[in-house]
Amino acid sequence: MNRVVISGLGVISPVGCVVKEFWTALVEARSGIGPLSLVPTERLTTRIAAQCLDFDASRHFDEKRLIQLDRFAQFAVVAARQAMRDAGLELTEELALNSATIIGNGAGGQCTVDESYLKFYGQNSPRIHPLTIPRWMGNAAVSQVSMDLGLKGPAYTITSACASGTHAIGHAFQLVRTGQAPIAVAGGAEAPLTVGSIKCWEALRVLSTDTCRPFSKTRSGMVLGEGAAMMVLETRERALARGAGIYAEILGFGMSADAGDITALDPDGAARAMHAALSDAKADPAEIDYVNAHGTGTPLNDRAETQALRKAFGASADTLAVSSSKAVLGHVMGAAGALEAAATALALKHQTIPPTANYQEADPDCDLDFVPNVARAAPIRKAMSNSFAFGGLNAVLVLGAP
Amino acid sequence: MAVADEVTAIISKSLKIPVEQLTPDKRLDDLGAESLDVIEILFELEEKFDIAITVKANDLAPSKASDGSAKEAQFSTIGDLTAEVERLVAAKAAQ
Repeated sequence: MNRVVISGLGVISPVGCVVKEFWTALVEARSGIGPLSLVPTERLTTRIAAQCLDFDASRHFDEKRLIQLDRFAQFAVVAARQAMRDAGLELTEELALNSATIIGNGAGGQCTVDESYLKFYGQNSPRIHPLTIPRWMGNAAVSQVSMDLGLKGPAYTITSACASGTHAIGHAFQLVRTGQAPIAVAGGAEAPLTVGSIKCWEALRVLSTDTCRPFSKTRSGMVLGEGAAMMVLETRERALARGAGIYAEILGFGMSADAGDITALDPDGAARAMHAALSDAKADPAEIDYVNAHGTGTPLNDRAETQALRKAFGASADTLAVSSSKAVLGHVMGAAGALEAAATALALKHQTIPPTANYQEADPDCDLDFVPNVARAAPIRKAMSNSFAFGGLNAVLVLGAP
Repeated sequence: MAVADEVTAIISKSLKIPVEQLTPDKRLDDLGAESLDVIEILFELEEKFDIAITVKANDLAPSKASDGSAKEAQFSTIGDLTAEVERLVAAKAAQ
């Protein structure tokens, strides 16, 4: 079995479209949540979101190419290009033939669906753009990334709502570990900020009107976000041989299903996924110094995740540093796990724990060290990144210092 | 049908409990309603009366206050919910 490392990162995020800006914002607890401006708000009550306002598609694609790409696929391709450039990998034809592309997204081209339906149902247009289906399909992002980079090995989309990105990285890790692919580009992408899909989220009554305050007593719900994160995974042997920079090693991956409620997180199911990841990593709970939590900022999730962490970590839960990146990034759905795995890898590389931003007041139901508002330099040997999806699908990664 | 009867009918249909058992003092959680059930009931009521009931899923379940004491859920009883719907229907009629 190969050891697998992360040798390249790329991000499109509400706090910047460059890894350095992304990491700085996380460390400085600078939130990317702001007034919703990408879509008309007359028919919405939502006024805030975490939008990638710095992203300018025309800088990356010519018109001909852009016409094929929904916003989520644009994010995916640009982040993947960044990750490949960052890894400095020379993709020979032989390497390309077996290289994997595994991407997670909760839905497909949501902007395309919204625009097309508005035109067809709302404006009675008799026609729909001929490339609507290629833009909209669930696998649009992974196909566009494989086309753009010329990756010709295993390629598929994983969809598990808010755990999609984590499942994708986990599966890519398994492909490289077992030697089925020499390298993999893996991550998540989502562009869910359309009037139609925001309206659907409002109906579920879980969106905050204030901001995202994970684990804080005053938390009031989640905030939708958009973006993508991609990483290059390769064997540690290859990375060392070519003198590549390494962010972190992927040590283990664990999954579980709650097989219970469609929306509420089950602490037992979440703890089982953490156990599975620890066991896969052959790591003791006491070796984990930092957990990047799912931490959505809804009262129910954060309470249940706290219980799950206590269950999985036992006595060492009290010395564990836990933070959620969602106060800074919003909840980027299928990309959330990928952005947070990137944050976790950067935490290991920089030996710095990014804080939980927007934290105001301790909650007796959430009684762990949530690293409120201020980053902490601390030795991090191993770290965990948690994703728990609607539908009870849980995915957990364990990463190690490079 | 009076507003209160409509509310009871909608709850009865959602929770599959005969209307006779749905007295105003009954707590929704005691009747087995989970957060998603209550969200669906609120949606049915909004559709029926063309009103907007502003409450978040968060506030539909009991929680703990900062001092550790129990904090009551919003609309914990059928009576609470009926009163809110009656208020909103009256406010709409007055417009």
